[in-house]
Amino acid sequence: MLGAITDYTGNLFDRPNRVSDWLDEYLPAVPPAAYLLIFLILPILYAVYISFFEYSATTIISWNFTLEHYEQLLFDPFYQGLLWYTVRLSLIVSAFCVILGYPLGYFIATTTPLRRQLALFAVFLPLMVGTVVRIYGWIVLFATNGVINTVLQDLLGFKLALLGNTLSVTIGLIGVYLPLVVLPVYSSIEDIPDSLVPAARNLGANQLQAFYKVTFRLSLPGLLTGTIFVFVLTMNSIVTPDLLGGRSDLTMGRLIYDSAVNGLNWPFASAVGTVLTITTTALVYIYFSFVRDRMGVSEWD
Amino acid sequence: MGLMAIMSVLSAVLTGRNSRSLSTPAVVAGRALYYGLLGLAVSTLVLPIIIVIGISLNPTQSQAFPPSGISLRWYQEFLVSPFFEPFFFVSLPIAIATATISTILGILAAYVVVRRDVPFENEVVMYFISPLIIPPAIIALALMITLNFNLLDFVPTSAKLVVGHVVITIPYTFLTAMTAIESVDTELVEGARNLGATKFQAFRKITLPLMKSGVVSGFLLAFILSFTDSLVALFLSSGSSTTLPVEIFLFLQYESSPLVAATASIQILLVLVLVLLIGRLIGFKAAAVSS
Repeated sequence: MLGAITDYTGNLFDRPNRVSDWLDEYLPAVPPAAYLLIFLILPILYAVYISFFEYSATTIISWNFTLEHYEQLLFDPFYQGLLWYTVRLSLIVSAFCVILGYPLGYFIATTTPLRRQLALFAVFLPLMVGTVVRIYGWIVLFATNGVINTVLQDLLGFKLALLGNTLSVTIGLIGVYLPLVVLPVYSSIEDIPDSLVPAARNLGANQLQAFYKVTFRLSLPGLLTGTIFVFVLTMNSIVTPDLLGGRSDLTMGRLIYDSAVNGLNWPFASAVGTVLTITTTALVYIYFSFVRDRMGVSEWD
Repeated sequence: MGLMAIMSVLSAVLTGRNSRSLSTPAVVAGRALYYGLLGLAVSTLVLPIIIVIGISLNPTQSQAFPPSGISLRWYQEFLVSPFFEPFFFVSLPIAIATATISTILGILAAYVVVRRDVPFENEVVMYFISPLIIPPAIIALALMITLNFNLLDFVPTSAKLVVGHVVITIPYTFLTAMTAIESVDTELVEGARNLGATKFQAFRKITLPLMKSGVVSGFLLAFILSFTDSLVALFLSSGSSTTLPVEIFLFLQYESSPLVAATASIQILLVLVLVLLIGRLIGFKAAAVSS
């Protein structure tokens, strides 16, 4: 404690205190900081601000204060259902990304260097290739005359409606966001010292116990980061549900896109964005505290 | 059979049986489950890409997989298709401009964070990677309502797209630049300063050349992210300034054809080459972890 205080005061004296010194020290960071302020922080605040004003068909925003967008979003059963659908979809996608992503992350961390390179490439390339391209692959696979249905027709003589439902949206989203679980899991398992699992085994744990008590516990920060990313991005997904889903697979993200780009109702779209962000943040916080408290890993914050 | 084996694994975990090794069927079942999930995960990632490339090789209008023959017909069609212009005259220049601006801003921010005594360093780092934490749909919406403000009508759409793409790519160029600057020995910089170089000269002659591979990787990452982005572009694109992924997105809402597959394959090949290049420069691990 005392050390921390002297460290702090020490830094305080070293730190430049005149404006010109300050500029001399930090000037290079001013352009990027200002850039994000002007093109990220202020636009987001502006979006939240306009969500409290009325929509007008002629001028888009009419500057009369109103809470109608929020009332509509929170009390209209249609919008309640939509939010619930989005939350449920995100939970399912996150769960499957854990089930599929954890083994792959574990594999990459524990396999031979050559296989690791190949597997990392197989995870990294899809992440970089872009959503639309990968979704197109699923469309061809699931379409009425697509790859799977052609096989079904030839072998069994019938077809299935695979495209345009919640299942195809879920599979598409899992494929798109899987790397976001694999990579942090891999990274945190690789950081575990090699001697810990053999030590647990020597102390009498079987393979599964050693895995659960050492590897799994120590990889939780990576798993947590990955699932939070998947959850947040699925909550906000637009392109995948739009291309793979049917008319009823309306997510909050699609609602934002439809009202902002097609409907030009910016105040309402902003209100949707605000509600969505608050809901997402609250759920992520609950999940984070749950994992932190239940798993007894309180040192990471 | 498989179910029984899985049950025995579960019971071993739940009862916390303290035998030093598990029974053979449990181990076999565990292995089977592990490799099964691995196979499923890898195919979920790779299958769509392989299918897209396969479809693009079809000699006819049919979207058969495996392709009914091997032809490059649709790649020739691409050259005269409505996708050619968005590829070369919209997405490509936007991605190059984005990567250039984003790399410069990323280096500036990373330089100060790494080399200067920054108060609240964690918070400052969080600030520069905030576009990674704020969902892209929210960023896209906020940028759209701000940049489409009446007074900004004179700004061309492509410039607005660059502005938006720089926002979403700054975290990547910032993080790769941070790693790169951290790897440069400060004694070399101090040596140059002692020999009379100004701070800027020392940065340009010592730090910048030594962090080259990090800088190039950040540039390539930003290029790829801008080129493949479909979300910010979906909100900001308009008329003749529609990027390739948005053009494909809009096309796919009505129809799909091997032409889309060929276009998508060209995008895949471009990204593949750049990803391999990044792998050579800083390794997949560093690139993957920074993203």
